[in-house]
Amino acid sequence: MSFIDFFKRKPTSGNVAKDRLKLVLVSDRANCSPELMEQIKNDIINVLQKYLEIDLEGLDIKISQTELDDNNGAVPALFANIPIKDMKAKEEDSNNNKKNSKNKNSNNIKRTIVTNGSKDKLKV
Amino acid sequence: MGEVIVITSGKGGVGKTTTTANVGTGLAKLNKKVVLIDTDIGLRNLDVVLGLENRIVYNLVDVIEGNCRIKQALIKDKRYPSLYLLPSAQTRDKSAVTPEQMKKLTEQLKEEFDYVILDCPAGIEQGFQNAIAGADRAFVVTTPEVSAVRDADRIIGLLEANEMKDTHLIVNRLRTEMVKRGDMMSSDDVVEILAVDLIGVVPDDENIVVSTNQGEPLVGDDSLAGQTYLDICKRIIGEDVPFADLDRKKGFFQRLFKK
Repeated sequence: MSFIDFFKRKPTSGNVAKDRLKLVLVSDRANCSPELMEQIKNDIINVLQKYLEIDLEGLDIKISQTELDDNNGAVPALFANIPIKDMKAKEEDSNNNKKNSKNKNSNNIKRTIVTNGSKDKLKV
Repeated sequence: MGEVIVITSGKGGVGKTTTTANVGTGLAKLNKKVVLIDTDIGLRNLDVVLGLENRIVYNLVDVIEGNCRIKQALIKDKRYPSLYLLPSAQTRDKSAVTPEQMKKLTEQLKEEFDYVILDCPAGIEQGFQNAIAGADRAFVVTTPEVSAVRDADRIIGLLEANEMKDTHLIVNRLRTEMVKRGDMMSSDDVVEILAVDLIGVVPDDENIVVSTNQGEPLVGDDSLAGQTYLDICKRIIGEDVPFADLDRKKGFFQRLFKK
């Protein structure tokens, strides 16, 4: 044990308990039912499909944990990885868009939506 | 019209039954008409904590199945004439009762009683669903331990999902000297984690064991636990009672001889 260690106070077991609980509850709370997840997923797809053509096969939506910079702990976050096949053509300039669309087809644009869940409790 | 309160916790062994017995007795002490229902079918316990185990004739399942009238199954307490117990069945299982039947029963009872208090079984299965079905408010009992708090959080989530409007927390078995040392979470820590309003903090008190041994709830006596239980009862009936200082100073002689 070094000289400095001697003065460093160990975290008390009460604080350890509190920190462990906070972490375990994040994942407990984020663990929502498959039915609810399915509903969220369908709603997101419906909204996006108004504007975009998306790849339903490669779609991945889930709730997991993320570390925020301003918060020293994990918070639940909604991760959505939705490959976009094409922008939906607006009617008036549909011809222009068709020409451009070929380029976009080749590479999937990946977007991640992160909801700040630090205060939200998603409990089901 | 009375109020139906369910006392629940998720985890077993944190003090639901002791809390039910003491809160019920305390409310009767405050001149309220109270009925306690043991909803833990198959694992009957509230009767022994109240010292009424020798008086059981009919039980909850008998009432539900119509083998007797409600009045016949209610056992009057030894000490408080306004306190009654509806005991659980010992030889049946949870599927003998449905949430709808419990709701109907509590609705009938709250016509006549000021408080209907349900002692919920541990777990989150049908017994829990039965107990919360007719409840207007819920008290979640937890001890300041990770396992109990985690289960309490789950229960609070399930209560929310079942549209419980009024949920309060009771932190049980707090050991002040350990909190001071930093070796136990404080009631504030637990409240911060669970984000539910507190209605009582009960210290870990040897007198509880003695009172359970004797089958006489200690609410209202000189012990610290007895005082804090009475405080909870006063808060239930709407009094604004400050939270007691659990770090009661030991008297000079106590310090001298007991350390």
